[in-house]
Amino acid sequence: MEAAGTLSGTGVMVRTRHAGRAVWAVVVICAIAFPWIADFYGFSFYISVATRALAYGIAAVGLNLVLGYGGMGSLGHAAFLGLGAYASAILSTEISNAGAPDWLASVPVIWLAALAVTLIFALLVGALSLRTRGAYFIMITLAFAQMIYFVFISFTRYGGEDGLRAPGHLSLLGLDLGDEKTLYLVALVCAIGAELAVQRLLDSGYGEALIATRESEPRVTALGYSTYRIKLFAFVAGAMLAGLGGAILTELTQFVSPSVMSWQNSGNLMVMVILGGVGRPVAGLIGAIVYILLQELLSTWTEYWSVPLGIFLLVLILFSRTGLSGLLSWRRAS
Amino acid sequence: MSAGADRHLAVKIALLASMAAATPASAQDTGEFKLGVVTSLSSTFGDEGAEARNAMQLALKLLNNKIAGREVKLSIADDGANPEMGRQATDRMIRQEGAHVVLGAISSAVAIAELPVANQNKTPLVSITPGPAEIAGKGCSPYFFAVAQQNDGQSEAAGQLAQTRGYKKVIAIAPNYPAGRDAVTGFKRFYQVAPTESEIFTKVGQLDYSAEIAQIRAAKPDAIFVFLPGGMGVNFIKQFAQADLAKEIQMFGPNFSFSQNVLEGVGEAAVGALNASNWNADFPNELSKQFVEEYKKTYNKTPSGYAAHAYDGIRYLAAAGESLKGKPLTRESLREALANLKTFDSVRGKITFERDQFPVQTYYLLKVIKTADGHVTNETIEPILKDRGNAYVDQCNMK
Amino acid sequence: MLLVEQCLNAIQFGLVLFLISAGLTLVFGIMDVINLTHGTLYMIGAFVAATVARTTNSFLLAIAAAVAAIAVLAAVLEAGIIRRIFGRDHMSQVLATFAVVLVMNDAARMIWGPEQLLVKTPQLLSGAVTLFPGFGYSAYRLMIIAVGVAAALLLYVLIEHSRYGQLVRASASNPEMARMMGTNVDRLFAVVFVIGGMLAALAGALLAPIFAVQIGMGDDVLIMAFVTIVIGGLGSVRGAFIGSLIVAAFDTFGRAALPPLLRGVLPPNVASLVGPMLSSISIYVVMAGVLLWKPQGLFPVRA
Repeated sequence: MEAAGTLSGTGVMVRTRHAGRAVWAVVVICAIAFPWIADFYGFSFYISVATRALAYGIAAVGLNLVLGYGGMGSLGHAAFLGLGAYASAILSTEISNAGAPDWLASVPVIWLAALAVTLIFALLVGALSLRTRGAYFIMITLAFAQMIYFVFISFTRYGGEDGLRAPGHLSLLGLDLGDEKTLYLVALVCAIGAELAVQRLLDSGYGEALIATRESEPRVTALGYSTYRIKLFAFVAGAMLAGLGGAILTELTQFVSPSVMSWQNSGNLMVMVILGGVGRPVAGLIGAIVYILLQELLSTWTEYWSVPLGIFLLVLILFSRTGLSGLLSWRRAS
Repeated sequence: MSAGADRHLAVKIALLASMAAATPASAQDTGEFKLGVVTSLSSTFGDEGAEARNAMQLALKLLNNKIAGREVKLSIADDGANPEMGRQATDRMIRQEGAHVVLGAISSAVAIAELPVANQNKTPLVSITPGPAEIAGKGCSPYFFAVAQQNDGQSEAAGQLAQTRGYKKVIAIAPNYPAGRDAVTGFKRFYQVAPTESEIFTKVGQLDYSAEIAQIRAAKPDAIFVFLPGGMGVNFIKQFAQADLAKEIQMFGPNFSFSQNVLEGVGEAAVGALNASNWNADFPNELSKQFVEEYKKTYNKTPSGYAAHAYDGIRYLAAAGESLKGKPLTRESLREALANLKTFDSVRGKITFERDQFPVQTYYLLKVIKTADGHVTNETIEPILKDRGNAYVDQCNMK
Repeated sequence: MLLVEQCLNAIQFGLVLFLISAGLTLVFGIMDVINLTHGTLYMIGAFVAATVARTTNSFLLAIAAAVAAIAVLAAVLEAGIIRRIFGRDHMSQVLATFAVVLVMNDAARMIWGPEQLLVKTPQLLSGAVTLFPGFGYSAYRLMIIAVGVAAALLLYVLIEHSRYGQLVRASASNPEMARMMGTNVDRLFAVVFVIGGMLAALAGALLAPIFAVQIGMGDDVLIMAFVTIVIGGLGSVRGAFIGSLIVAAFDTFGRAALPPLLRGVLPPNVASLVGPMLSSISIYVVMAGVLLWKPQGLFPVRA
C-alpha cells in the first residue's frame, strides 16, 4: 500500500516510499541479526521464543488472508496448524520406524507432505463450510476443527492426548535444523516469504476479486465470477500457510499434541490477527510476535498473567479500530 | 505503510527485545542451588499444581532452604497444563534462569514435551506426578527421574484389589485418551478373574454421565473401575451417587479418581469407594506424619497424593544433594548424584529405583470414609501390591 | 426401562443446555453481539452459589444470590464494555469479550483459588423419585427438568406474547425505527443482556451440585452452547429449545447406543477405538449436518 496522504506532490510521495522500504530493510536486517545479538547479550532462550512466534506468525498470515481479506471467520484455523504439525511428526516417525534412508527425513519431503495434507483437508472442510456464511460459517469451521481435534485425542497410535515426540531434527539442503539459529532463520525466511507472497497475491487480479467479494458478494457474482471458488482458494491458501507454521512448530518443539489444534488455540490465532489489525498488511506477523512475547513476559512477572494480558487486549480493541498495525501508523487512517 | 509507521515498528521491536534482555544466570557453581519449578497453576490442573507448589515450598522451608549445602534459589512458572507453554517455561528455566534441575509437571503431555528440552540441555527433569509409559520404556532418558510413579501403577494395584476380592463382573470407565486406555490396560494386567463386562470410554472433559450411569445400572456389575481424574471424577461420582447406585455397585479405582482434592469436591458421595494408592495421609511412618502435620498447620487442609509426591520430589533432590556437599555442583554432577541414589526415604517409606529411573514401591488399599468431624478422606486398610516396578522397563535400553 | 431412563437423561441434559444457551442466543439474536463472556458468567454464578450455599446452608438463597450477583456483574459489563462494541464488527466483539474472559477467569482464580468447590444437593432433593415400580430417577434431575420447562415457557410468553417482547423484537429487526418510535433501545438491550446473564447464572447455580465447580468450567459449556444455538438458529429461543433437545438426544444416545452397535458390526478392537471417538464428535457432526442442510439453522430469526 502506498504511503499516501501528503498533498505536496509526487516528490514527497516518492521519497516517503523509498524511506518506507529503507526502514523495512533495517527491520529485516535486525531480525536476521537477532540470534547473534541474543547470544551476545545472553538471552539465547528468546531465539526459540522468536521461532515459535514466527511459526504462529505464518499461520496468522494465513488466517489474515482468510479472515481479514477474505472476510471469512474461520474459527477452526488451528486445526490446520495442527494437521501440518502432526503430518510432519507422523511422517518423520513412520520414516524412522521403517528404517528408510535419511534423505527422506528432510525438509522438502516432510514439509511438502505437511502442506499436501493440509491442502486436502482444507479443500474438504472449505468446500463444505463455504456453503454457509457469517456466524454460521464461524461455527461450522469450529465444528470441523473439533472433530479433527477429538480424532487425534483418541488416536492412541500417535500418542493421543499425551502427544507424539518427533524422532529427531530434519535437514534442509545439508543444514541441520537442530541448530537453533538455523531453524530461526529458516522460519524467518518462510515468514517473510509468506507475507510477501500474500501481498503479491492481494495485489493481483485475484486479490481484487477477493476483497471485492468481502465487500459485496452479490456484485461480484453479478459480474460473472464464482465467489465460492474465490473464497475457497483463499481458505485453502490460508490453511496451507497454517500447515507450514505447524510443521515449523513441530521441528522447534520436537513434539506435537492435540492441544495445538484446540479451539482455544484457534482463538489465540484469531486474537493474534485481530491484535495485529485484521485485513491489514503484516498484521499476522505483528500480532503473533506481540501476543507470544506478551504472554511470555507477563508470565514471568505474575502468576495471574491473564489479567494484564486481557486488559491490554481490551484497551486496544476499545480504543483502536485498526489493531496494532493501525496504532503504529502515524497516518490516521479514516 | 508510511515511513513513520515502519520506524515506529522497528523501535517497538527493539524495545521489546531489550526488555527481554535479562542477563541469564548461568548454571556455573555460584554457590546457589537453582531450582526451577514448572507446574500447572492456571487451567485444568490448577488445583493439583497449587498443592504441589505448596508442598514443595513446605519441603524447602523444613530443609531450611538448603540443598547440597547451598542456598536454594527457587523460580516458579506456570505451564497452564499446556505442553507448549510447559516446554517454553522449562526452556526459560534452564537457559535464562540457569536452573540446575526442573520439576513440577502435573500433566503427562507436558512432561513429554519438556523432556527434549531437558535432554538437549543435559539438565535433570524430575517428575513429581506423571510417569508416562513411553518414558518408562522406549523413550527412557538418563535425564528423566520419576519420583512419584509410573502412570499404570495405581491402576495395576486396583486390578490386584479386584482380583483379590474376586469381583465377577466389572465395568471399566475411563476417558477416551491414552492415560485412560493405559489405566484400563494396567487394570487388566492384574485383574484376571474374568474379562471386563464392558469398557466405557467417555469424552475427555465430559460433564454429564447420566447415559453411562444408565448403562451401568442396566448391566448390574459387582463393581466399577473408575479412572476419571480431576473435574471429570467429581462429576461422575456426584452423579453416580445421585443415581443411588453406590450401595449396590462397588466403586473402585486408582487414587487419581479419589484423591483428596476430588473428595473435597464430591464430599459424601464418594464414601465407601475403594482405591489403590502408594501414599495416604494416615501413613504411620515418621516422615509422613511430620509432612501431614506441617501441611495441615501451614495450609489448613489435608494434603493429597499430588502434594505428597511433590514434597518427596524436593526431598529426593536433597537426598541426592547430600553427596554433593563440598563437591562441585553442576547439572551433570547433580544428574549423576540422582542416578546413583538407589534407595530413598520417602513419605511412602523406603523406595528403590529401576533401570529406567522409575520407582519400585508398594501400593495400598484405601477406603473413602467420613471421619467423626464430618471430614471425607481416605483410610488405609492394607497393602495390596508389594514392591511393584513398572511393565515397561524392559523396553528401556539405558545402562 | 433403560430406554426410558436414557430418554429422561436426554431430556434433562437438553433442558440443562437450554438454560445455558437461551441467554446466549438472546444476546446474539437481539443485540447481534457475540458474547464469549457467557461461559464465565455461568461459572461465576456457580461459584457465588457454591460460596453462599456453604456458608448459609440454604440452597434457595444460594440461587438467589448467584442470580443477583451476576445481574449486577452483567449490568456493569454491559455498560462498560458491551455497549462500546455494540454495532462493531463481530471480530472486534470476539476479541473484546475474549479479553474479558481472560481477566474474569484469572480474577475468579484470585478470589476463589484453583480448588474444586463442593456444593451438596439439597436434602429434599437428594433421593430418587419412584416414577413407577422398580424405577427411581434422581429427584434433583427431575427438578432441573421442571425448572427448564418453566423457564422455556416463561421466555416464550415474554417474547411472543408480551408488549415488552414486542418491543424487543422490533428493536432487534430495526433499531433505528424503534428509536424513532420512542423506544429506549439502549436500555432495552441492556436489560436483554442482563437477563441473558441471569439465565446463565441460574444454570450455573442449579448445576453446581451435579457438576464440578472449578475455574474454567464455563469454557467447554460455552462451546456446547454455541453449537446448540447455531443448530437452532441464532436469535431464536424456540430454536435454542429444539436445538438443545436435539444435541442432548444425539449426545446421550450416541454415547449409549453407538459403542454396542459398533461392537456388533466391527471387530472389537476397532470398535472400541471408533465408538467413543464417534460419540465425542457426534454433536459436531450433527451441527455440520444441520448447517449443510439449512445453512442458517433450524429456525433462523434474521433473513
